[in-house]
Amino acid sequence: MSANQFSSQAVRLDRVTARYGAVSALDNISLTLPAGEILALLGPSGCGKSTLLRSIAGFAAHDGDIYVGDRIISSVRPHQRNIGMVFQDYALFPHMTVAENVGFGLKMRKVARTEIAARVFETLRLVGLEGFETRMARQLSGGQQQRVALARALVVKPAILLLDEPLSALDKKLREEMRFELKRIQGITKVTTVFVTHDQDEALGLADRLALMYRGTLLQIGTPEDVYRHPASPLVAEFLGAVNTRNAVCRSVDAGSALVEIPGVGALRAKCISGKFSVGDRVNIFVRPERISLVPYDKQGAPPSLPATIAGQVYLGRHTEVTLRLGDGSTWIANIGDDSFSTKMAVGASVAIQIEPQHVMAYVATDH
Amino acid sequence: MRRPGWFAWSVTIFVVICMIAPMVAVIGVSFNPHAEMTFPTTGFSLKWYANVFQREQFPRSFQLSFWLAVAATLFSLTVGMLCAIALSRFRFFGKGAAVTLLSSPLIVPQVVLGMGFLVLLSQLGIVSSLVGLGILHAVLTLPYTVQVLTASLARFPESLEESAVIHGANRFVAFTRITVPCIKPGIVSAAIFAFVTSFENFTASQFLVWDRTTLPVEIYAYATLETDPTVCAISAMLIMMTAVVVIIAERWIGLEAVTK
Repeated sequence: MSANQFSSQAVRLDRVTARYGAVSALDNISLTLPAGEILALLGPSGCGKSTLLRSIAGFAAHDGDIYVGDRIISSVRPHQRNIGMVFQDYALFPHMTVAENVGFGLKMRKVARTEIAARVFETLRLVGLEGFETRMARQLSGGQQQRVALARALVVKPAILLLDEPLSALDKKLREEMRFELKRIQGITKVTTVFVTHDQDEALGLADRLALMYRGTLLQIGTPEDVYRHPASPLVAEFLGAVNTRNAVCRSVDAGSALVEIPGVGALRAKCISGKFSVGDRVNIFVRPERISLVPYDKQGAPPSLPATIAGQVYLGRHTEVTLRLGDGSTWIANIGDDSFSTKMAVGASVAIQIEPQHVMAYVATDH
Repeated sequence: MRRPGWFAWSVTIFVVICMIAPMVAVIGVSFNPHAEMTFPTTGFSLKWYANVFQREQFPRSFQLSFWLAVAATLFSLTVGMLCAIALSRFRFFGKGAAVTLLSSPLIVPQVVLGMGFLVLLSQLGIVSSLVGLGILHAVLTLPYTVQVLTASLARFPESLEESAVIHGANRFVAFTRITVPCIKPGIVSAAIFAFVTSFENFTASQFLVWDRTTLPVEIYAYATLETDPTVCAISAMLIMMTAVVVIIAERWIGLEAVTK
């Protein structure tokens, strides 16, 4: 084991429940995270992801058990849990130098001064901040503060590392750089990591496992690819960017896919994700804007495709965001990557919407 | 930036004169060689300064006022900090009532407060000025420390303390090692408010004159009997003392932090 590699531990949550008055902030959450993996807790604000992270840290009261390795930490006080944590605002100690900040956990653990110095040096080198020891924390840039916060959490060789919205305070360019850095450093230390985010790019790009939360419940947990490709429920699909949604009726079914008809709009071939599909069923379909391709109406290939008119378009550089008016008067959004699109198709033009069947995600309607 | 016009200048100068003139007058009169409080003076003499130290009531009451202020400050810093933690971090039954009660000494007229203590303590047979003034000044200074410290703690991000805790400090260590140093400006300004409030209190303190009394009460008593500039000499010394404290405070933590 190299100097920077930790004996990190698996995390297991067993029916963790938290309540604020009558509101249930966490509702019976159970999940397992193998040692050395990164788990993203993803969801809209108020979904309970922060409460769950704070429960693991010991700052939020909860029922149910939290295991780190085979040890139950639910009743262990926060300062004895051997956890490293990076806070959203970094929470560096403003009256201390970088070295004092990083060495804080070791000092609390009564580690000898010479060893503290050595480990602080080693950890600062790991996060790419060697030579910053004597700077005051408040003199650093956002990205550097982030690295110090990370070093402070890692220097104690924690059983697990918790990150609360680790990249949200950084600007876009720095965010991408730090995402790469977090991944690199986690790869070296192999520390089991749980982080909270509301940003799907962050979650997909950083996590080995992604847990989607909504109103205190766990909707789905799986690898980023799995969750993104096979959202287990309409809520997950919608949260992961499938904003074009419609009610439809199932017209015919074969293995894994179905022909669905949107009343007043047209028919599409769709992938059946949840529920048992049979002809005549009402279904909900979800489509991501980037999965839509458009062809001029007179040049459309083999059906099925949906007729639409272009109601508006905004050139955004990476793609053109096109607003489409469907046959029933409602609108869908399509992101067209072809840079010359906006000059080729005018507002008012008739087009055919074509979508690969595996990108039309269909769920048997459970409501109404 | 725009330059201020003549009106703004006039108001500013008027206010500054009103603030500084009394101090200039007091300092000026204190050097008056004649036994009258006239200004401008016609000569220069330090005899009223000498008189301050010859009249034993002044050094004695200064000592009482000083130690009373020190004790009141230490007490209300400690209790005020505990109150501030409760008010800024916890929700509990009767919190609104607690806030009102803690700030009531600011609202209740000091004449009422002083009279109340006089009646109460006499009833209880506690006729020691030291005890009476001690309790009174603790009550008088507490609202200031509670308010200043609550504001400091409310502005202090709790995540700093939590990050100390998660990395191995218990709550007490996290508070003393992280929170206290970070809100030092608030603590210092609370201490200054408390000290000054205690040291300069006259209205309520004059009711508790049994065996000893404070400097402000002693100055007032002297001024009602004598017309010589001795009280001006004391005042001038107090102004000097204040100036020294302010300069030290400014050097140490920045005056802005104190007055904010």
